[in-house]
Amino acid sequence: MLLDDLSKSIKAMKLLDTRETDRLTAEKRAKNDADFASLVDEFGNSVSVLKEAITMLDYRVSLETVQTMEDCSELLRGVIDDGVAESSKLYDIRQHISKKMLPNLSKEWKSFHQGITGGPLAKLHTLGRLVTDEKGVTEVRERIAAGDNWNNLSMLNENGDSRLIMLKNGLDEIIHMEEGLNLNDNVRAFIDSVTKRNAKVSDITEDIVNWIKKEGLEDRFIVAFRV
Amino acid sequence: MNREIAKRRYMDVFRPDVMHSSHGDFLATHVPMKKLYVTQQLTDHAEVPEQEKKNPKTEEEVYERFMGEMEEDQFVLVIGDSGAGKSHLIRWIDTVHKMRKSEKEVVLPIRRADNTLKGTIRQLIDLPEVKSLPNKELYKKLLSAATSVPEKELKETIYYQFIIQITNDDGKAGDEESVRRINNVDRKHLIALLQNSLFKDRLMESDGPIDRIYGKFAENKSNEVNDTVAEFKDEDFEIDSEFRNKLLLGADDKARKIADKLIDNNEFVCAVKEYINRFVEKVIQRCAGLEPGDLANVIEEIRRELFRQGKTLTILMEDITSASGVDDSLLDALLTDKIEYPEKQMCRINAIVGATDGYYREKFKTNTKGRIHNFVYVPDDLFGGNKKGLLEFFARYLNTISLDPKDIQQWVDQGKGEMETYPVHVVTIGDGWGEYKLGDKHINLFPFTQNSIMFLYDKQDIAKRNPRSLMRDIIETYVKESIEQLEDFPVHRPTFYPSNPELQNAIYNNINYDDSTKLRLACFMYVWGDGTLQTYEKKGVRYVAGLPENVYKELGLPVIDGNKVVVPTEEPSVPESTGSSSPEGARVPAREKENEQVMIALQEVDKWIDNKDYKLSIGATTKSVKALNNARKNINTFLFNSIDWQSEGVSNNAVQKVKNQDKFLVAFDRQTQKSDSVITLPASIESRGIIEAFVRWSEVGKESWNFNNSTDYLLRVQKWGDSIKPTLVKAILHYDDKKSDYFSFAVAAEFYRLILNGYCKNYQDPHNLSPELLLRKNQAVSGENGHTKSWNDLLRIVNGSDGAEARTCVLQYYNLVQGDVVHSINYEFDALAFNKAVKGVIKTGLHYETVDLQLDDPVKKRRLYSEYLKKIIDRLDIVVNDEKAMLALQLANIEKSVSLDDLESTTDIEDLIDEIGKFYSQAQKSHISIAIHYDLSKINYCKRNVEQIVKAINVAKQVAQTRDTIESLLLLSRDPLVCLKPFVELLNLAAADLEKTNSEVEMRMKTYKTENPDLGDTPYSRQQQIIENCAKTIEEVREHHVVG
Repeated sequence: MLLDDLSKSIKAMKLLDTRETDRLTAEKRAKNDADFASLVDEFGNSVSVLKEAITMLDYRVSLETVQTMEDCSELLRGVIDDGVAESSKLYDIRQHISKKMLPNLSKEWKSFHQGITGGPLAKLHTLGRLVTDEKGVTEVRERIAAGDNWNNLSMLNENGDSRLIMLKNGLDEIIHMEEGLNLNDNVRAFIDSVTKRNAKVSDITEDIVNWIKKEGLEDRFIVAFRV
Repeated sequence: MNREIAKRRYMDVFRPDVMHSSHGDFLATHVPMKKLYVTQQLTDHAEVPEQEKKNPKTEEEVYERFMGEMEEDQFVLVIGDSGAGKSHLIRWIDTVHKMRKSEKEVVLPIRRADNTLKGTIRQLIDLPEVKSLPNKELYKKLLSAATSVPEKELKETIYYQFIIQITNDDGKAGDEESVRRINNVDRKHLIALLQNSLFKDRLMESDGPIDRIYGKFAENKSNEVNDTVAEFKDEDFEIDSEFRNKLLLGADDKARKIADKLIDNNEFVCAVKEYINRFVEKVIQRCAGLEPGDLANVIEEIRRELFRQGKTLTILMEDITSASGVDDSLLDALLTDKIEYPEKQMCRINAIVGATDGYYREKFKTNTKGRIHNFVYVPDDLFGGNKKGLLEFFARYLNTISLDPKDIQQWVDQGKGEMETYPVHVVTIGDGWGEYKLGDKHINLFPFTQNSIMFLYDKQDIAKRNPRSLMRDIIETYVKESIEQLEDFPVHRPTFYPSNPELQNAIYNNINYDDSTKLRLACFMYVWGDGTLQTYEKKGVRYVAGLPENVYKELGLPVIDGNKVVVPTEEPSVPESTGSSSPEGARVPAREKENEQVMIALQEVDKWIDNKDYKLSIGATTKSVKALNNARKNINTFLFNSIDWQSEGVSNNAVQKVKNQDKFLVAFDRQTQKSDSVITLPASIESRGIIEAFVRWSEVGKESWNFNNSTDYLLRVQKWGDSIKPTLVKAILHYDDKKSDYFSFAVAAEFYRLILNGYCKNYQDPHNLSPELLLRKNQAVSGENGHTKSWNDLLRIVNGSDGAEARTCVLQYYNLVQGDVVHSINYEFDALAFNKAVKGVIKTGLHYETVDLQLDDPVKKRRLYSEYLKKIIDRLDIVVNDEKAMLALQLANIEKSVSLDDLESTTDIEDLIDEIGKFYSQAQKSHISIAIHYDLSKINYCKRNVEQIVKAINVAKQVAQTRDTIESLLLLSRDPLVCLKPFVELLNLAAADLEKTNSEVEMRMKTYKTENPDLGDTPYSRQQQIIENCAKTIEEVREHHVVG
């Protein structure tokens, strides 16, 4: 009696096990696939930003960074080759992206950003004193600053512009601002010297004085001792 | 002795109050006093200074010193213990002084009379000198004071006088200069207590304080000299809780309060006593109608009158306490020196006053003491060191009681009381008893001999060696016996130490005499005779122990044969003093100092033998004789230790059983304690010998036989021990004619213990049990088992102290002690006897009914085994039935899940347990909730015990078929439940979990039937596209946009 009942019960439990094991496998695969898709999207986004930066700003990366991107690409291809997104491989890919590829891109972009924005920002500083649109100067400065972080470059503002575009626009705006002042070459050279803090008294030619008077900029310049 | 005269006379002569005996008797019995101390001052303790003791005076010297012609006033205090002879001395002085005094000397003897104040006053008013007092008012007052008042009325008056005095007091008891002796609250409470009828009855009791005061004031109701002091004592106010409870019923609050305060408060009791005693004198004066100075006035009036007549006064007052109540002022009058009051014109006074030293110490005021400069001290031991005086004292009294008063009066009148004419009585009985030579006269000493006088004097307590005590305690006692009970003489037998046991053995071993005769004869020969077995013939008369044959015959005593010796030389005359405190001359053997405890014990034993109604007091109370109590214990110990019980076929264990319950093998006939002893010692001389031996062993030998003549005692004891041995042996093994069988009960009980502990699992029939089982270690099993509560309760009982005791008995009963019985620790086991006895028990199949047990065995230590076995068998049916019921329940539970027919082999059970294991294992894998019941250890336990489970099922089936309790018990001792219970629990659990599992599985399976999972075919195409695009971009970057 009991013996038979026990046997039956054991069989029923085994069947239940089978069913439950099957369901568990499907759920897990879906989750891994989603994770894989997410990683691929992240990788694609980085490559896309790089391509855009190159296009807009003639950005260049190191060979090492290129290598990390190629490695990442290989890892992702491996998953596709396997036909299944195993958790361990996904883990490795996530590690590679977050620990190698993105840090390299960020670091190099930071350096690049400083390089392309240093001169224009100094000029903006000088020109900003000559123009009356102070708000416009501030907006330019903010756009340039917004593009200093690689990881945020693809972020969009309310107008649908990415931060990379905003950076590019900012730099263009400074050039446009200088052209709007109608400066001759002497004056432009003088402003450059003033911006670089190496303008001498001898550089204040009659031409320069006339330009100052003409533009009513007498209060904007001072003479100081060399430090 | 002249028996006829003595019979009439002896009571008159022996009256202690010498002032009432006739003048002739007084002279005839008077022995000159030779040991009197004269001093001018006493020590602080009212004793004579040692220096003065070196010069004792004779009565004549005292007379010369104080009774000669003199001009100055004189006061002499004759002091000494009660009965020492103070009155006798004063009386002798009076007698002599009347003959020798001058014409102008007036002698006023104030005798003790009945020793009351009224008696004293009556004497005074009879004196011609007082009758002729010019102060008639004073005389009338005395007459009134002497008037008799009914006792009850006078006692009531005394009692209420105390209340009146205390009521009118302020707590200072009349002494205004002193502080309050009790405070006013206590005083008022005391009055309330005295007014309480219950307390009054107590104080008015015979011998109570009011009776004592009445006795000193109005009437001495006894013939004894009343030496008690008229005062309250501590015990009159000592209240116990019992009396206090009685008081609670009716007394008012004040009386209750002081009663409470008096309980266990000695200091307060003493204060109250002293306070109330301050009123005694005043109360007596009030009751007599006298003023404090009345007697002093009488003395003063007499002195003035005699002065007028040109005479002098001598006052001889025997006892100052006979003036209780006015004694203080009387002393003051007697001490008044005429020189100090010349204007009063008083004659010279010479006062000789007697007082006990205690009264002097306690009651004389300090200033009175300071005014006394002449003391005559009469010592207690008047005859100390004066054998001749002692014998003469006895001889004169014995002679006087045998003389016709007319002959004595004639001697006084015509012979002037001179020694030459001293009359000697005609002997009608007691010839040959010995004589005392007084001058040239021979006085017969019957019923004494010189030996007996010296012996009895020596035996007399030192404090009672004064003349009055000697006369009352010794002379009167034996004279009375000789007159009234000569056939039993001596009835009062002093104890003696038979330093020469030859005589005692000769008497005690004579089978022709009864015990009473033996005791009388021994006492008589040792005390009256010389205590030897020597015999000789002198002038045709045979002497034994120094006494002629006819003496024995007069007393109806047998004359024993002695060792013939030559006739001793003529007895030397009685020597004078040797300086010792005891009169010398008594022979050594009978007087050798006896151990006090031996003496007391033998005295008690002699009374017991002699008096058929006398109960021997042997308990542990204060009244009992300690040495007898010890003797009984020591006899017991001796018998237990000295008998070789094993040789007599008695197990040492059986002896110890009796011994350890403090059973007394021997008791005394007519002893005060109840006893279930084996032997009762009859009240006989033989018993006396046994008791004496053990008393001496304890008291003299200090628990050894190391004392004089111990071998005789030991031999006697051993012979006696041998004679009673068969009785004792039988008694150790039997009671009520039944053989004590406690060993069998211990064995049966031990078998039950073994069965219950599981040591007999291999037996089915109790008849097959073996004796060897009992000899194994068989320690109590204390681990877990599957038995029922009732089984385990019984198991605890048998594994307890009773069980241990029974086991010890089983193992030790047949131990044969090797060597010394008492101290040996080496044993040999009598296996043959053991096996035989145990087989006897096995033969019964351990079936014992209550009637088979010996629950009435008087020896508790043996009875315990019967009681223990009864405790077991009373519980057996309950235990077996409970176990059977539990087994039946287990089988029924199994059958709910599995048919018992399917569990016939170990494989069947193994398969079932395995399947259960698999079931739980799968449940765990499948996350079924009942998996928490998965207990691998339980499953493994069952697996390990598969064989036992099969056996247990079989035992359970077998037990169900067995009707016999013991056989069932044996089967059940295999503890089938211990395996069966876990197995059944497992089955029950599995069965219950099975249902739950099936239900849960069904529920979960339903989910899968509705599910349709959509998994997709190409999941990575989009990602592949992105990656490919990225790869192209990167490749381009590598080619064109790399730094450097």
